[in-house]
Amino acid sequence: MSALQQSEGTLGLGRKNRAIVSIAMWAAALIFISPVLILVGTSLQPPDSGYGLNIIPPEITLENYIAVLGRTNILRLFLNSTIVTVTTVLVVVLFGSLAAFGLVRRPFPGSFIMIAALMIGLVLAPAVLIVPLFTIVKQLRLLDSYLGLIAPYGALFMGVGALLFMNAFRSIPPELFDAADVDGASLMQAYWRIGMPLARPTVAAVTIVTGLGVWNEFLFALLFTRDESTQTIQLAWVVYSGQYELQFERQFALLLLISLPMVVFFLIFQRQFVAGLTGAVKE
Amino acid sequence: MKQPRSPRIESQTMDAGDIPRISIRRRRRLSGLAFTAPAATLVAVFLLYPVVSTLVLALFKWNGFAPVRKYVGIDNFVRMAGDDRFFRAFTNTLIWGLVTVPAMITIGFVLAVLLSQRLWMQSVLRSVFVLPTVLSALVMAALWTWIYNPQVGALNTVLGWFSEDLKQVWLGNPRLALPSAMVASVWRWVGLNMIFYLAGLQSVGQSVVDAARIDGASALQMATKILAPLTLPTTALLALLGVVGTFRQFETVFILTNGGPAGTSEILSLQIFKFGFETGQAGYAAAISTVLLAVSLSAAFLMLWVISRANRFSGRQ
Repeated sequence: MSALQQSEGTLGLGRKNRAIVSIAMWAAALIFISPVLILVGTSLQPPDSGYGLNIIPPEITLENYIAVLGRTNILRLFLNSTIVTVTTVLVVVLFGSLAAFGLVRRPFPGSFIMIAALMIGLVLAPAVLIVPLFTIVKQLRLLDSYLGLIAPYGALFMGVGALLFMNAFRSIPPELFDAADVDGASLMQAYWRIGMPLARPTVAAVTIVTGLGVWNEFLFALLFTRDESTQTIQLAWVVYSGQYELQFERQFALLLLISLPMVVFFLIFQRQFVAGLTGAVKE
Repeated sequence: MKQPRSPRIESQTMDAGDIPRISIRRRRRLSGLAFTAPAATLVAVFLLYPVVSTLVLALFKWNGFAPVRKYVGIDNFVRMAGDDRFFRAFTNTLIWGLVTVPAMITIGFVLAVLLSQRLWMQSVLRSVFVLPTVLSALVMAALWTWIYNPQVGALNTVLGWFSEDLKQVWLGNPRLALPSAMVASVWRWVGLNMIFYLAGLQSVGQSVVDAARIDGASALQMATKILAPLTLPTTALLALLGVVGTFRQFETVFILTNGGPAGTSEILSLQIFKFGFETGQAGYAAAISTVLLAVSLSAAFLMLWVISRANRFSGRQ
């Protein structure tokens, strides 16, 4: 908390006004989050009982979760998402930091073309790519495979990774590298011993932005995977919600299961999430 | 510091055990390239090549999987120019950007200003507002589909407490479908806008706030005349993110309305998907993709320019 917040806050409200604002904000927050509360509450009530959407269910039961977990392959989809997300994050962190290090420490003619290409990935709408990308993935026989998702995701998020790492590496004092040069260090050694250790916060930021983005991604997953063996968790909705038709209680349980991992991660690593998201995009 | 040695000197002093080496300088440049090679390859194959392919494909007529394509020149673009459906998607996308971005920025700012006072259990409040951002667009859209449900949905139920007339068929009404989707999207993003402003507000100097208070500024004046201008760089950045995000929208409309009713809420990304993968008109989809690419890149660069101006205005950089 900055000194500003430790005092009376930016508006300089007195005690009484702050109490009023607190109450108002809490009321607003409850209304704001009510959809999520409805999601949780309704998922705990039995379906086909004539109950509408509720925050506090008239009857509590776990049958929706049991049904979804037991009769769908959602756990497999969860595994697929985990594999794809973790691998993509590793690829982006590794390739991105290597590229950034090379671009910062050993710029070559045409570096800026590379940087421009990376920046396009930052602002590009994925929908622009889907038609040819589908063909490419198909021709490489990567449809319905983990790699068929990891590669496009990696390319998509590489811009974020490389640019963040470039900023990090640029702010390392050159004297540190000069000292390494004197000791005869190779570029790779400079990368491992100096660059990466000093860029740890960036690793965290890139991990969070990429991880969240890949886990929540829908369009590519929808198009490039057709089979439970490789479909990712967001597709669980498209794949399984149809069988529940009007049983929104079941559907809500499904939705909660889909979002649970990310929400849990967020609640545990809140500060890192916020720091990662704001720090990342400030660049 | 090692001196770069030219190959000529090396060979002049060569003996049986020496291996000719390339110069240090050349090796350095090559290692720079080697470091960027993995990322460059991935980006070239899965990002750059598809972008170029899209531009090329727009000149063809193709059903998406047959090995044969027919060259039609700019026919696709001519068709687009006369296509009402395309113009509706284009307009919808613009409306989406022009409405949701200012909305989420403004609400995010207000929330951040209010939350930067010392309120009760502030960090919990903050998490509450950020939570929807962590939910995937898919989960949010599916959830809101039920909230908007005309019979059992939460919105109509609550409105029904006041008056039956307030109930609407939100997603089935051509005039309400797109706005309904936009509301859901803003709901999802205000938290992110809020935390950006919270970070920006922290760097507002205490002395400025004190000076304003001494001058008798009211809370409202403080917010609008002091805090808003001083957080202009944040605003510009959020505008960029918002604009980029607008063109990336897909799940929200896909799940909530699927472009309905009758295509009234279709946005460009969804239209590309439909033409490319539902009706087998890949060439036309590529042409629309080209337009989307051009518009989104222009908008992004425009916002970047605005950001650099905003930074200069507030004295940073």
